[in-house]
Amino acid sequence: MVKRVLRQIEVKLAKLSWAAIRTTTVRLWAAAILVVVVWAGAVAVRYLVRQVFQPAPVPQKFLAWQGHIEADDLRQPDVPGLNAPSQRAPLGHYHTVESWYQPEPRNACTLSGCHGPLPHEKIATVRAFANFHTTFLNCLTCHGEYDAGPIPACWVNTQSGEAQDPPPLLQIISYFQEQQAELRKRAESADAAGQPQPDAGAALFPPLFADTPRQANDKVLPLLREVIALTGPRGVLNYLLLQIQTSQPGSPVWKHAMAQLASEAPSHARGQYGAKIAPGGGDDYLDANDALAKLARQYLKASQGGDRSRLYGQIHKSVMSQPHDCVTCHDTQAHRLDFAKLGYSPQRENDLRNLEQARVGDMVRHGGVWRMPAMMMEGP
Amino acid sequence: MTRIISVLVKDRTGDRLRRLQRGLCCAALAALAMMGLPAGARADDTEGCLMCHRYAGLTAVDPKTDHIRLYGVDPDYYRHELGPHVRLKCTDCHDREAVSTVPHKPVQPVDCTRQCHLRSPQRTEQLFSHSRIASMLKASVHDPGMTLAQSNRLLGSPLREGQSTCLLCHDEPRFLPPGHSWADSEAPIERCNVCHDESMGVDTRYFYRHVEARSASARNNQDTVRVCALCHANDAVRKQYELPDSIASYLNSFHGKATLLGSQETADCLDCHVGPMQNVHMVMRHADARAPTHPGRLEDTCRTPRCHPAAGARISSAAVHLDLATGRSVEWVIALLFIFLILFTFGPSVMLTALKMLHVVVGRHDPGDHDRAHRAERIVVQPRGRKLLERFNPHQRAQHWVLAITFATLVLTGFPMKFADRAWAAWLVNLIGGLTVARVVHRVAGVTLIVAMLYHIGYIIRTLVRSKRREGKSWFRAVYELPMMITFADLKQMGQMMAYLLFLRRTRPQFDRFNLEEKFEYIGVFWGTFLLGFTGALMWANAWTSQHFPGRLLTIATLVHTMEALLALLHVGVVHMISVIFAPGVFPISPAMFTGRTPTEEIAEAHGAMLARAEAAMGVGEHYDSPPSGGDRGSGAGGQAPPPDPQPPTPDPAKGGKEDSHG
Repeated sequence: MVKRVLRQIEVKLAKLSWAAIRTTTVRLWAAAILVVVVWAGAVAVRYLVRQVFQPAPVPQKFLAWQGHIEADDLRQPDVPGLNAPSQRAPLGHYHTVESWYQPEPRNACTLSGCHGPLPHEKIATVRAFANFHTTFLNCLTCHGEYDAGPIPACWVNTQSGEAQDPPPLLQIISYFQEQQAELRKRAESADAAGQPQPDAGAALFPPLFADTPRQANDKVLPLLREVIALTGPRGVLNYLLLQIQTSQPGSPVWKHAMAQLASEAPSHARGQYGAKIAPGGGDDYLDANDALAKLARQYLKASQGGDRSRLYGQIHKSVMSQPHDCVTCHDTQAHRLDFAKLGYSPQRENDLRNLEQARVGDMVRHGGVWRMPAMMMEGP
Repeated sequence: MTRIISVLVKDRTGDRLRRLQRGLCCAALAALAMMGLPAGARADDTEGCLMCHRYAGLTAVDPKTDHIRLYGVDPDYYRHELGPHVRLKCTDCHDREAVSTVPHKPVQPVDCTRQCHLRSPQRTEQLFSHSRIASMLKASVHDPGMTLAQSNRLLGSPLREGQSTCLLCHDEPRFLPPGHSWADSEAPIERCNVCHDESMGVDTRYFYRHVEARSASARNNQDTVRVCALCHANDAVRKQYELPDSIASYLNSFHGKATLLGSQETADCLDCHVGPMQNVHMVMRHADARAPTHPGRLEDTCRTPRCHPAAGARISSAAVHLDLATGRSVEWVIALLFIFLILFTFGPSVMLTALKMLHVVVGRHDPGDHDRAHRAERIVVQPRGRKLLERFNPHQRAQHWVLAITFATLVLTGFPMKFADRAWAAWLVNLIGGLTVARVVHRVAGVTLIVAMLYHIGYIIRTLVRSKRREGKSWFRAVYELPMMITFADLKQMGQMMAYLLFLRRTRPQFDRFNLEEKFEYIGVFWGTFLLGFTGALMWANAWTSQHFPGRLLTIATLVHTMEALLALLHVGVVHMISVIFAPGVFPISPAMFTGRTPTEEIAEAHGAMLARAEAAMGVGEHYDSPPSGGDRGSGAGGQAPPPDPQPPTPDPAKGGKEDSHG
């Protein structure tokens, strides 16, 4: 009997609970509708009153324009006209930019609050030269105090701070130059062996690759895609990518596009690689950076006096007050950077080591003035 | 060689030998530098500036202003001839004396009106200058020395002192039109080069791109507005020159909304303010007789072959700049009237719906609902009962679905045009296929709706005629007894309903097939469809309208059309959707428009009188003693005759609206 009563109570409770749940749900639902209806009415009235009694606002996109480029803009990932195409370029700047190296979230020197992304200001004559090197060189590459000889260095990704292979654009340039060198070697070998040379003039396009077209395509195409991913889908490189990926390797269209790429690629080596050369083996770059950032934060919080001086000394332990001359890298004898190890081809390394602009830069930095020869200024 | 050796390098020690050595070094330097350049740069960069300036990172912070100075130049611009200035040397713009040394001397801002030398591949040179443009600007409302310079200051000096005010409107000119890619122009150039190859000495690539870039506006509509908005939407500039907010009022107008939605065919600022065969640098004041917006020329400006060639002269009085808030115009009055209309129609509907939901929240119900629900269930189990309680026959349901689909289509295609400044509007229009497609679909749906409405009127007339013939009624009675006709009894019952909803009455009045709320909605559809159709037709046939009426009628038609559409959407989208989809009693959806029948709970709550009539017709349950409401006789519009059954009791007018015994 007890069990029967309990069973009846249980059934009644179950019914009651289900009914209560249902009722509550319905009421909550009705309450929600009530709120929606009242809100819709209020929004409608507000809209109508505004339309009649207040001037219509101009959408924000018509009001947003960039006058100057501020230093802080260089830390932003998206500044129209500066690092992305924009309907209006920054007004005070005439030449189209639209391409700028991204802010470096892992560079403790420029994010510490002490140095900006364009930190060179003292020597007005060379500060712009020095600043453009910051697009592909870490600060300590020039300002770090190391023993003589090549410093251990590698490419680090500017976003993640992790070591990476040489930038894809440099790999493309190196690959083309290596292939040309290989072709020359084979031609010389064939010449030495007395074998007949293929008539290069008969070919529609001179041979570019020692590899097969398929091998060359498999090598170049992924790298080119990486370059476009870094620089954005515009311009001639994107056009060439379209040509190459839509044509059969070895076809005339493909050969034509590859020949154009071989000619174009070196002119795009302007330092904006999405990576920088940084001293160190790569794995310790992040740790070193984070440690530096921590010290910098402590320094900024510290009050004037001993603590600050101590921290300052710690932060700048291996930093030279005056950086090396340009020819420390750009010289046939000096070997501060091992270009070959950093992925530069022999031809490119030779160009960098014999760069006369570096000598001009050193001369100007030390007070000299270089005058453009009149024959250059007048032009043909 | 002598000249090279004579190049001097300043040396602090003054040592002649070292000076000579340095001079030779510089000569060698220059030669080596030239050899070290990529071939393309050599050909394009005759002065060697791009040796350094090709690097985008060549930058410095201006210590005085803390602004960034970018010295990098895109070498592709010159290498691939991306714009008309590729035919210039750097020193055509930048003072040669200042840049001929490294470091450069302070370089003065460029004067865009200076004379330059355009070079061609044939080594010829042509002198050119933008000074003629400057003269035009000086004669226009945009005097660079006064107006533009002052505007620059009011804008916070985005241009440095001395920089040409041309930069307020112009960026570096590029050939590639917006939205085009490299590949688009390569094929035509290749075709030209079949004949015009190097032997012809014609630079087809440059000339093709030069001409093609100018075959369309350099900027799309939105970008043009953006340029003008720099000054014309700036409060300081407007205050200085006492300008209205032209940008806001343009974007609020028909043309502006089309621009916001991506149309390139509609008029932008320059289409009206720069006349045909006039230079864009010759924007004149309205009072100037040369201005296209001069009252004497305005009608011709609207009726150019590109725009409204078939329109009447009075089209120019249509509002190209629409700002309701300023001035108490006819348009403002109409807008205000619509506010009241919306408040006094939508407002009560909101109130009724809100009160009904409140009753559900607090759990209040008519004590008789439960009993009526039982009775309804007894009725619907019989086929005849189901027929008697059917509220919409298949023909009516089909008409409703046509109305619903066309209404939804009109809302989806039309409201982006009203709220064109919202992000969702452009997204929706693009989804539909663009503004042109949206307009076509909107008009087709509108015509469909009008036709459906006319069909429905014919349906009503047919029903009336049948009813009159079958039952021998007078025309007046036949019309009065249409199920959707509002009667005095409806008004009385609505008063009772309000009393019930306001907790002043214990029981709900028993409505018949349709209550007053539903009848108002039905009449609203008539009203709305005709008003929207009429104003829509006026706008669609704007050429005809402007030939017979002042252009201002178009503005008024637009306003009425959009306001009425908003009213319709509020009623249908909020009130109707709640009552047929979201209300607790019908969720997820009322089956009435699928099966024709309403759930028994709803019959019990909302259509008790209909239930009583059905019971009386079947000879079961309570007798029907409520006054007839619009001649509801089952599911026919205007009294489609039910099967023969005992006559309902004669209504007692004295008892009109008396609550039944369940109340």
